[in-house]
Amino acid sequence: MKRVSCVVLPMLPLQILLRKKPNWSSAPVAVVDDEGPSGRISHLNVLAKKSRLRIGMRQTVARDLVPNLHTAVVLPERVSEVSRELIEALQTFSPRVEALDQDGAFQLDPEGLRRLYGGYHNWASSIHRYLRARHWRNSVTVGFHRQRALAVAMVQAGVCVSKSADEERERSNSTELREFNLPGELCESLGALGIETLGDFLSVPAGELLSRFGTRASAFHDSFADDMQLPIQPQIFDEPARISFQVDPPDEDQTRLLFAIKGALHSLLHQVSARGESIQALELSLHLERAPLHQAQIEPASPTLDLMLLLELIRLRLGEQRLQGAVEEVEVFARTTRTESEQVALPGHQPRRDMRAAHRALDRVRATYGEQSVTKARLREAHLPEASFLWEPIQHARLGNQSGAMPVSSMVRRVYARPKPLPPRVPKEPQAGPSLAKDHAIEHMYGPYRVSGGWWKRLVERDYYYAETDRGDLLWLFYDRPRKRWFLHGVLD
Amino acid sequence: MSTYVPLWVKSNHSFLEGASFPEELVERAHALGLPAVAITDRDGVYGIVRAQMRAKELGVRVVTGAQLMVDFEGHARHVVALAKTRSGYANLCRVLSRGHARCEKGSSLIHGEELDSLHDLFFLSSSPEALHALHASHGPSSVFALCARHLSDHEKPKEKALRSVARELAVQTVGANEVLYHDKLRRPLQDVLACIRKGKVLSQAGHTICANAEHDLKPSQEFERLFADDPACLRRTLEIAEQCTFSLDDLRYRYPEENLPSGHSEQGWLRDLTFRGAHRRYRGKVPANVRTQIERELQIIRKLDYGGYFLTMYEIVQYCRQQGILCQGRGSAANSAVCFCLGITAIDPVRMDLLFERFLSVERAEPPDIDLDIEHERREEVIQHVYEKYGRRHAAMVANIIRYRIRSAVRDVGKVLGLARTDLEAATRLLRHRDDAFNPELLREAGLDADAPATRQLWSLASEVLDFPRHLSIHPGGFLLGHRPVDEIVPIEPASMEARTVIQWDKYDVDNLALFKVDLLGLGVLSCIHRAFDLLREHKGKALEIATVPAEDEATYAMVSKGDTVGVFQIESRAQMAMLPRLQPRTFYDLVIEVALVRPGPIQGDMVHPYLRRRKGEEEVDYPHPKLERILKKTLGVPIFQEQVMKLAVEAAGYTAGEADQLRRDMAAWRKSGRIEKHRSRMVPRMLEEGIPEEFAERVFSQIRGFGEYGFPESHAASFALLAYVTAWLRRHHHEAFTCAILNAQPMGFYSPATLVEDAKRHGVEVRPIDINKSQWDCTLFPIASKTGHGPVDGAKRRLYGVQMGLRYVKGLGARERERVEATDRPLPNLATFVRQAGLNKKALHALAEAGAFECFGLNRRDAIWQVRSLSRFSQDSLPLEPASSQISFASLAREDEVIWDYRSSHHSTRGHPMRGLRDALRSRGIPEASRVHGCGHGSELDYVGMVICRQRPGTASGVTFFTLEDETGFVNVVVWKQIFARHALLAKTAPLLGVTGEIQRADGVVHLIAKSLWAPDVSLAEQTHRSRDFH
Repeated sequence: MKRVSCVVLPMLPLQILLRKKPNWSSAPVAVVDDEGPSGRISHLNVLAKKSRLRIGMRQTVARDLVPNLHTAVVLPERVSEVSRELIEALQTFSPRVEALDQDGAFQLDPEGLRRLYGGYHNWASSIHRYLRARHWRNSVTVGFHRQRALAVAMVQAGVCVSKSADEERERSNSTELREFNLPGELCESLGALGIETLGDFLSVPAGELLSRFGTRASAFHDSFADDMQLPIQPQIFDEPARISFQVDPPDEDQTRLLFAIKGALHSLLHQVSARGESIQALELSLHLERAPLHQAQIEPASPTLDLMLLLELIRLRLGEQRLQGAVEEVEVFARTTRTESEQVALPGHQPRRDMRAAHRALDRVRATYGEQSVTKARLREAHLPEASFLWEPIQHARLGNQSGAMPVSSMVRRVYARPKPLPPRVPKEPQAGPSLAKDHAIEHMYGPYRVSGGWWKRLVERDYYYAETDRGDLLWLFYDRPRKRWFLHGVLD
Repeated sequence: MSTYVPLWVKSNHSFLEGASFPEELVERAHALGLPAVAITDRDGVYGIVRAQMRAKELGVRVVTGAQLMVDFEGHARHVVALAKTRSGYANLCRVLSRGHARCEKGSSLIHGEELDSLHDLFFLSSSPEALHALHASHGPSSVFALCARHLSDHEKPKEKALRSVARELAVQTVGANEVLYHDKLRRPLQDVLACIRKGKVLSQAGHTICANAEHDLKPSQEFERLFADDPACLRRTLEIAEQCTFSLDDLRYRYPEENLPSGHSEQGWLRDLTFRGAHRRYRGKVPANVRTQIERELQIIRKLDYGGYFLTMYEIVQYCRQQGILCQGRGSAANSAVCFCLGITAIDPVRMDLLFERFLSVERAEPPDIDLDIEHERREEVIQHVYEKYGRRHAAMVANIIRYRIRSAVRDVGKVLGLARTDLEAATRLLRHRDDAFNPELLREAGLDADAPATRQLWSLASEVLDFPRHLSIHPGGFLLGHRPVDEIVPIEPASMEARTVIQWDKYDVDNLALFKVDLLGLGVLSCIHRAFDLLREHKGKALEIATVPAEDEATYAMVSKGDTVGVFQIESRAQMAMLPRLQPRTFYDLVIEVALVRPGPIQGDMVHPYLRRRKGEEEVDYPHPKLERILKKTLGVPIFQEQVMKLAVEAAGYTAGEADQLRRDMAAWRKSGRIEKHRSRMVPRMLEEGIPEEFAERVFSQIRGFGEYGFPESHAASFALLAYVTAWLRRHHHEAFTCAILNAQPMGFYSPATLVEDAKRHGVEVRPIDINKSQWDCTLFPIASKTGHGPVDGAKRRLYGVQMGLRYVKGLGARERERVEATDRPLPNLATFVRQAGLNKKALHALAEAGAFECFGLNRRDAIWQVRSLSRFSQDSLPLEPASSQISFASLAREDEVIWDYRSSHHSTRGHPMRGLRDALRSRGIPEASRVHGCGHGSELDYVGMVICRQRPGTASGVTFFTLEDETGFVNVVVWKQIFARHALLAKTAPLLGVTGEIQRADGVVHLIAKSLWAPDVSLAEQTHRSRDFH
């Protein structure tokens, strides 16, 4: 009879939390679904359970009962991420691994591995030990029926290998229905009838269940029928698109290196194209002789399979930098994405401005000066001038929306990133006025315009003025009240 | 000499915007030497009364106005409106009412054209659009261009544009800044409030907060400097203020006239009704002293012109009578013989020797305050009647301003400061059982770093925001009625509750302006009494009213004196039950004292024990001063009632009538910090001067402080004592009717339905479980055949009726299910027929099956559940169904499980007490039941196990927690000292079944178990059966 195996990491979100906060393990801990007072408890550690806390209880009530309760939210994304890591780890024990609906439950195909490990028990034990060594609480079962193997894994700690289907049936029948991922209401309704365990449940005819408890109960019942067993649906290996080659003898000539990279890139593009994907970014790792690893990231404006474009960007990036030693080995890792088809524009309908050309240009600037070199200003709501905008890197150039554009002010300010302190004067009062360089003076001051705030972090109190100098320059100055100094913050055109 | 008047000032009654109390703004204006200050709250006149009261004391003039949000052709703009005259103020209130009526709660939008017809108002606006529109309708004399200078760089170009429009229209300018706080130091708080209002954190507040701290109330010189280029616009503020002559004193309030029969004057009709009532009350023989009292009262009422108010109350009471709604006046109205004769109150003040002046006096000339208690289930009918009778513009409910308390302050301020919600939650949890004072240590306990700037800011800002208004809510039952429309006195807003409207002032504002308020309050016990009277009439042919319940019944007092008072109004709590055997009430007045004695006032003032000792003759009755004998004689020299404390203040501390009245107001102003404390320095030294011992003086003051929390005047205690007596009498002589009534009036009272059922059973009342063929929606009485009748209990006669539990107790059934079940043709032969006739959904059928309601069809509960789950699919079929055939049959529940299922499905069990199942196990361990605990001697040590039905930690008990534990034989009161509670905190707070090891304390027939340790019994039953009443 074909064997199946199940690995269960009970209360995976709680385990994730406790691995992140190991010093919490000696205190009552609860995972909640929301940080707010009405967030409900989804998982509890033993100490919290002993403190009479219950799953489903509101955080606010729980804290009232146990003031030293530690709570945190574990996001589903984090659980998925960990699940993916666990699948990768389990794939070292069996090539066929399936993540089940229940968090922390995995189905493995043990077929063909018995001889390699000297029996199913040894195989299961090595998985158990592997996970335990990484501080994951787990149980591993080997049985005959995928649902029953899961049921056994949920109640048996450690490793459990069923010798026969009957033995597995007997073990699994005692599993409480609440352990399964069934709706709480269904469990309660069945519990009212005294149906608490899997054995009780399976003794009820499936047909009677459907009319009374709906399809969920009926489907769950059916899933235990021998003839309804689904085959394992293993996770596909997600192999990265990468290529590497040795440079022998080590070489630091960029032209020769580029030529070598071109060949490797060609086969990498072939590989990626065959998967129906395009390259989103390239990570280039150069192993140097007697020098640290040199890494660079190249990101075209849009996913591409254009060899010459990518090569040109690599050339620009390498051309800017001087390598500290000869290159021994080159590794190219490609981040890929599905290729999206684009409708070809009809003749005469092309936009006046060629955005692709703009993207190519920006790619080249970025490749030459680094990823942070292309930025745009984003306006923010703030009273402090320097806080009212933010430079942020952009990937794509966009045409401005002319209709919504702000009218251009006649007094465009050139704002200094850091206000320039002006020479101190005595007395240090705003009335004393600012002092400029020797060769010119202020004729008129307009203001003050007061900006103050930030008391919750660092108090700012500034009196801004527009100043007209004898040369006709218009300056933008402020008197910093806490520091009692004048600063030049910008000039006006 | 001041050169300006601030005309655009918002107090903290501009909710979550202004950062100073109205009083603070007025005080600051006074300190700066400003001749006047305008209060222009956002969309209303919320803070004007408080400002006006303070201004009167300081001699500052308040200009009344509001900041309006006005829609000018699709653009919402601010306009400041200032009332020139009374008529202008009425216009302002009316237009604000209209603005609120069309918006969601908390906001208002006035249409520009609505301002066109409003006269006697000044309009100030900084919007050119508004200026154009207002100029077109009002001309240049009432409209001003508002120039605000907060040193913000965008103001200058805007002002330039505004001035240009003003010149074009020949409109004059005024200089006025938007004042949000009286002092710059409040700027951080204003930032926080603005963020709370917009739901932002400070670090991302952006333009939600102001650019700088220039929104303070500025001294003249500073303001002159700001407007040095246009001093005329400041002079105009003085002129405007000068022309705004309206003051709240101009509100000429007149109570609405009642419809009088032809040929009667208001006073004549009142006199007629009063004497007719007197003849009825005294059965045709009105005693001379009553007649004299009535004449005296009528004379005062006439003098004060309050006849209309009494007639309104009479009309409402008459309406209740006609509709069969039980009601009763309480509070100081019970001091009035007129109220007694009109049927408003049920206490005879002449017989009780109650002082009418406590209710009304010519010297005080205050509006009377009559609180009318109404059956809680039918109060809304009465409220809607008042709306209907007087009209929506003449009647509106008084507001209740929700203010920041310590927990809401920490939560809101912390959120704005960006602190973690989990930490804030922990902090607010810790604050729950503490005093309402801020202790920074709590933040440390909650895991916040006490030295971190954010924690320090939380501490200081949360303390600062305490008592700030947060939003407007609705008073439980206070109505403002007016002869003229109420919206000419104060704007009316729609309340969040459907079909209710609310004014912008709370009861303190209404009191301060001496406006008439009618309080219509809901009281559960009246529903209970009404239902009990109905049952007695229906089943026993007894027609009773509150007034005709046999008075001074010995058997009733005997029961009460034993502390056997579960369900009896006011004297059913643990503390009252413990007091009753000590006080041994034998007369109605004893009950009045009992009701008033077990209150924080007398307890805090340490008045209880001296009174008990004197009553028992263990201590001599003496008076701290001979002139106090008259005041304290009724209560054996110990002040118990609020009136006595007031009289003491007059007699012993030389308070004037006005001061005594202020004392009463301060006592009534619940939790207003500092308002009572100020009397200490006034009262205690004066009493010492009179030769009253310091210890007594301090004790009286402690009691006053206690009254600040909860205190009863004698008349109020008497009104409640009457209801206590009636319920006690019903319980003693008609326990089954009483139980049935109180179960149908739930939720009310102190005990859960389970405890009430258990108590009835212990008193020999047969209570039958829910049965779909026998149960109505409400609990009902059923006749007991003589041979099944229970034996006499406590000497009572054999009971002729038992209680049939109603379907209302099945969890999950509501009005829809009620309607459907009542439409069935019961009794029915089988479950299938019921399912088809009722057409209930699966959930409701499941609930009935779980509650055992289908046992009448010969189905155990599990079989019934199994069947209804299948049958429910056919519930809408019109063809008769055959019972579903199923091969499956489930085991019946064990007896103990039945009880658990009962509790789970209907919060009670008639089949047994959850403790009964444990009794053998407990007995084998030598653990006694409650009835045996009561027989144990003083000092004996024992273990006891019971279900926790109540945990209480009164503020007056220095951290002691009182537990009431119950088993199948009765209650055990457990006293848990602070240290013991702390040692077993988790168990003490959560265990539904508790084990106690302790020592018996027996005094005056009252038994307490003083806990030495608490433990969890190793029995798992009852985990899910009970919910206790905790920490009230």
